[in-house]
Amino acid sequence: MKDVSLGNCPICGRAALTEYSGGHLSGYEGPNALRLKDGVCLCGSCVRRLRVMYPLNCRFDEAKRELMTTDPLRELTAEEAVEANGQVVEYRESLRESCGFHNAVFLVDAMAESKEGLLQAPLVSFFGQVLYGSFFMLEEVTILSGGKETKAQVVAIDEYKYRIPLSGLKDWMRRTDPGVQVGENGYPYRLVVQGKGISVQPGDLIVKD
Amino acid sequence: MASVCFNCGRTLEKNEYFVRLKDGQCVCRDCADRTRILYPLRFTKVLTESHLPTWIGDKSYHEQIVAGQRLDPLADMTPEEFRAALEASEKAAAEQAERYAGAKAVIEADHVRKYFVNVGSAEKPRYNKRKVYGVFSRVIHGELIPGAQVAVSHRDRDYTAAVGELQEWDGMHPGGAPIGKAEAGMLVIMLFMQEMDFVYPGDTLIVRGG
Repeated sequence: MKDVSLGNCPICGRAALTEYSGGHLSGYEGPNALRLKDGVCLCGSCVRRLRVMYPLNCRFDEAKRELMTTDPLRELTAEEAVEANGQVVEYRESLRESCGFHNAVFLVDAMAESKEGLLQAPLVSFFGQVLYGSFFMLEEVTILSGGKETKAQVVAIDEYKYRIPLSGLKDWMRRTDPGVQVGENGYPYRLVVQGKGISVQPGDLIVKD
Repeated sequence: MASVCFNCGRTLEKNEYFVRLKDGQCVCRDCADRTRILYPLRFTKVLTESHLPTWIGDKSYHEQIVAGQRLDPLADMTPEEFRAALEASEKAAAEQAERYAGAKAVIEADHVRKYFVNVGSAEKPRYNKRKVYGVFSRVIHGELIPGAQVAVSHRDRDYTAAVGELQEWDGMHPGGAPIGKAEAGMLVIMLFMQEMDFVYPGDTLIVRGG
């Protein structure tokens, strides 16, 4: 038997493993192990912990109509990652304080709405990034926009690559295996809620208390 | 013939988990768990051969597959090395106890997952309103048991919750076998019957002593 792990994580000492497929959304085995600048690999658990401090840099390319991401964690060395690990809790608490101590915060980048049936409320897709905390399916969230608070239930969480409105809930979106329908800090997502008269501007927050 | 733990002398029950040392002697789970603070299990992936052969005509071969593997560092030890490891682990545990004075157990959270309870069918799922949350974590000091009250301090306030169930965790999959207690160095899933939105990756959860 040959060990196929990518070595030991410099922070926690566990084996750094790659996920079988699907990026962070397939979720079953956590985020992928990540190779740092000096060639050392962080395990998925430590990547998840540091991600609040080093979220993916996202930029929506209007020409390609696609979200482009770069990973600032890859620019760190193992020593810097170990140092950052000691500051991550303090950093997150400062972030929570600046956001009013909500349990989880999602920063909206754009929104798209799709009409459903005649008597059905439209599905509203919010595109953006989770600043901290986790969002799960079927949880109640509060949309903060223009001094107004609107309550809504998350009906689906999906990967954010394109800004296409969601027309109808797909079968796979009803899957609720742990790790599938979750939005974690630092990654871009499409958060879908169902409701009438919801409108947000880029920079508005969706929070969970 | 029933096996006996060479360290504590306890007779191992049928189907009970034990570690076989390099020279063939057995160590019971309780004794092995006491060394996990310094010698944790290593969960990794290995390149191995499939159990079932693949047949092409009348010829067969075993495919190379990548499979999860649990490696126990104790299995490479001699009884003398195990005793030394146990001594070093007890010393490390005492140092941790000094560091976290007054705490029965200290746990580092890895991440939180919500479990959905399907009360419908696979085709037409209907989800119960029961709130079941799993906190995937690593015990870094003491002994954690189901029913323990864990507390986490944030800048705004302190939060507490009672552990409903404990499960083993292999660091990868979202479930494991239920266990009665977890010692320092072990990876566990703590199940809570309430919302656990206030636990974030890297948080330290403390079970305070009575």
